[in-house]
Order: sequence, then structure tokens, then C-alpha cells
Amino acid sequence: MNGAHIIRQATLADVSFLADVIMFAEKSNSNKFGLATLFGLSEAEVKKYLISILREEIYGCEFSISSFLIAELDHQPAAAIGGWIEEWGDEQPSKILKANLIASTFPVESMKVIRSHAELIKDIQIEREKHTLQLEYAYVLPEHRGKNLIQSLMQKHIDNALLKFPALVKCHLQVFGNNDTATKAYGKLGFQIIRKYVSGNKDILNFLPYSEKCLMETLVKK
Amino acid sequence: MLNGDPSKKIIMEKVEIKEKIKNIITSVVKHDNFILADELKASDVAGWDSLTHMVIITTIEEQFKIRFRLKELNQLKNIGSLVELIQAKL
Repeated sequence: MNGAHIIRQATLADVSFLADVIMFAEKSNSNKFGLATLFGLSEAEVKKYLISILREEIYGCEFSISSFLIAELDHQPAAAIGGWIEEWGDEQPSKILKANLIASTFPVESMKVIRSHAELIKDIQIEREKHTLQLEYAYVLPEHRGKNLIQSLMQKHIDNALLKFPALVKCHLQVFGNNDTATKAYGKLGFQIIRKYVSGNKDILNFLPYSEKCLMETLVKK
Repeated sequence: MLNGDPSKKIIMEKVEIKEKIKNIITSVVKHDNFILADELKASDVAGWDSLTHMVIITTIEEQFKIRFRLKELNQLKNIGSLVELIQAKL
């Protein structure tokens, strides 16, 4: 083991790892997995549906294999983060692509459950700004933390995005307010909290890790 | 004669479909501060986010007794294309 990592594009072979990445990142150091709790599904069921969703390969949102970069150590995935340019080219907003994927994959009964929770989470739904680089679902396996893998992954996302869209100015990410470790780590990488979204409904804590979400931003250095 | 001009029937169907869609959107986003023109997009309607989009789409499926495919949903550009898609499935 030499400790050196490589950064590569995620592939279909990573789909199970990516579903875990999404789940752990969504849980944000809690035991609340919003995609399960809000839809009345088990974590195992959501993982199965996430794998189907990722296999659809719809670029332009967080549920796409090609949005993810993977840091690999000793030929094994150690960390990942998703990233895409919001509404780049002819694409629909990521919120619509994501919603279409869920609506066409999750069972009909789960859609009835989410309808009853629509009011609950509306205050912490963050609009994504067109033509920003959106980073989502950062996760590092516990045994590989402290190796600057997220920093390498983010830089690669920014480099890739600039090649695709040289006019790129801003990079955004969203963090649950309970995740001080992540907020501080992103702060060291140049991200600042530009807005907080707070839900006054305490019931939200039965479904999500926290009642507050932070929008963080950094300006892209060219 | 009721059914002399087929184009009138199509226009009528579109009007009915639009009326139903308008009611669904209004009940989900909880306001009617929008005009349901063919050019209307999700981003033009306050409160039309990912969650309400899911609810709108699945309520349309339920009320019209149809099922959309992912590819069809991703190709929708505006209300006009949604109405055409629904009409094609009825």
C-alpha cells in the first residue's frame, strides 16, 4: 500500500458503491435517510431503486453515474463526489430530472407517502443556480478520512467543468446544518455559507438529519 | 351533428386536459398565480420544485389513468408538450 490515490470517472461497475455514497451522504452523520423516511421505504428498498435510477444515466443531476468522480486507493473506491453544471446545454433543471427519475422508478404507493410530507420539507428545498457547478453527495470511507481525497475530487470536478464550460464562475454545495465537520472542511477549501434555509417544523427531525440546510459557495479560480 | 369537425374535438380535449392540469398544479403548489399557456415551464411557477414536480406528475398519472415513461418526462419542455403527451396516451 503506497498511499497514493487516483481520481477517475465512475463507471457502471461502481453503481452499488455510488448508491451507498448517496445514502451515507444523505444521512449526514445521522440515522435519518430522507429518501427512505419521506417515501415510507426501507433503506434496502431505496438502494435497489437508486441502482435502477443510476443505471438510467441521465446527466445533469445528482442521480447520474457520469456525474460522479471516484478516488481510488489500491484499486478500491475510497471516496466519491457528484458534480454537474446546472442546466448546461439543453438540459432541464436538475430538480426536474431528479424528480422524473424518482417518479418513474419508486413504487406508486411511495408517491402517496411523499405527498403527505410535501409541506414538511418545502422550506429547506434549495433552488440550484443555472450555470453553477453543483457538487453533491461527498463521501469518504471512514478508514480513508484525513487523506485530502475530497479536496482532490473537488479540484478535478472544477478542472473538468472549466474544460466543458470556460465561463464557469461559481461552485455550490449544500450541507445539513448539523454537519460541522463537513462545513469546516469545505470552509478550508474556500467555500463560504451564503445562505441558510431553516424549517420551523420540528417534525422534520423524524425524517431528515437536521432542520437547517446551508448553501455554500466558492468562486472558481481559473 | 355533434361530431362534424374532428379538429373541434381535439381542441375540446386539449381544453379539458388543460383545465384538469391547472387544478392539479393549483392544489399542489397551493396558488393559482400562473396562466396555463402552452409555453409555461415549471420554473415559471412559484413552488414548483422537485418534490411538487413528483406530486404533480404522479397525480396527473392517477387522474388521467396513464403512466409516463422516463424518456417521455425528460423530453417535456413546457405545458404544451405535457398536454400533447397526455392526449397521445388517452
